[in-house]
Amino acid sequence: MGIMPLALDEKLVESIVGEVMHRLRPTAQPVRAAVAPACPSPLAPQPSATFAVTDRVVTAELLASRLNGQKWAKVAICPKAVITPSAFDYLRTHKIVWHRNTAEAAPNPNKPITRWKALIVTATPSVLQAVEHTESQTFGKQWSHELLGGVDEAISAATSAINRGEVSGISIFADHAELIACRANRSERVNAAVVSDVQLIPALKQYMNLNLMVVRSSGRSFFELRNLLKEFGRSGDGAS
Amino acid sequence: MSRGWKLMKDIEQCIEEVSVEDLQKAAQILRRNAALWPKYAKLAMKDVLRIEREIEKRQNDQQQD
Repeated sequence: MGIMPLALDEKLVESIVGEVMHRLRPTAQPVRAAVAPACPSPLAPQPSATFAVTDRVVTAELLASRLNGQKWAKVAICPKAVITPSAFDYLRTHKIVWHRNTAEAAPNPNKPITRWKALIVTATPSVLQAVEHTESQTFGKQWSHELLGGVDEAISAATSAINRGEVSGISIFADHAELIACRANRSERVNAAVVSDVQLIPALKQYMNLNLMVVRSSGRSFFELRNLLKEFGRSGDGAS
Repeated sequence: MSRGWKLMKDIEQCIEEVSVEDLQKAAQILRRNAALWPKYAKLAMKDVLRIEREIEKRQNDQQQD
């Protein structure tokens, strides 16, 4: 007599639990969705906030009207939008970093940002052009450059940056390339080599974990230097 | 040179939407490119002329209004 009501009760409890779970499921989704968006409010921009511009043509007037005098650190622009020269000037003068709104440009917290530095001792027009080109290709996020006065300064800057782990790799452009490589290699963590051919870089990275590339800048064309920087800065390789 | 070529391609897409200031800046960039790369100077100057024609047209329209 006492077993039957218990079995019924169990079935009843199960059906009630099933019904409750069924009813709860649709209401649980909006709650999760409400937490997920982390879009910054345009009323209170933060220093690291990104402002998205969805227009097809981006001009200086458009940016001035959209940004409305507020300080935004980054602007995301549609992948196929046209950015006019005045818009470029506006972004440069207001020191706003911009990027195309693509999956590649989106910040990925799991992927550490690799940083590369070019130290220029002997500055030729091709070197400056190649370094600036490489910087602009990576939106100034991966590459940065510094003009230095002499060999000693370049060696100490490079070794200290590598030893402190500030950069993934450094490229020095100077005429005394062998001297720089030799003296920099005295530091334990520095693996320096004089590179004259782009095809050597993958092998040097693989065998000696190259993290300081020294290039003799005189007599080099823009394309040669650009290719050297491109190959050296290629991520996913063994450079520490 | 690639920047100038891309720039002209972009400008042509939206030539009616960009301001005279933008057109003048584009012409300036193309002129500089023509000076830097003599091989492509003829092409760049053609683009400059096209832009200058557009600027002139805008100015004429303004005067008529």
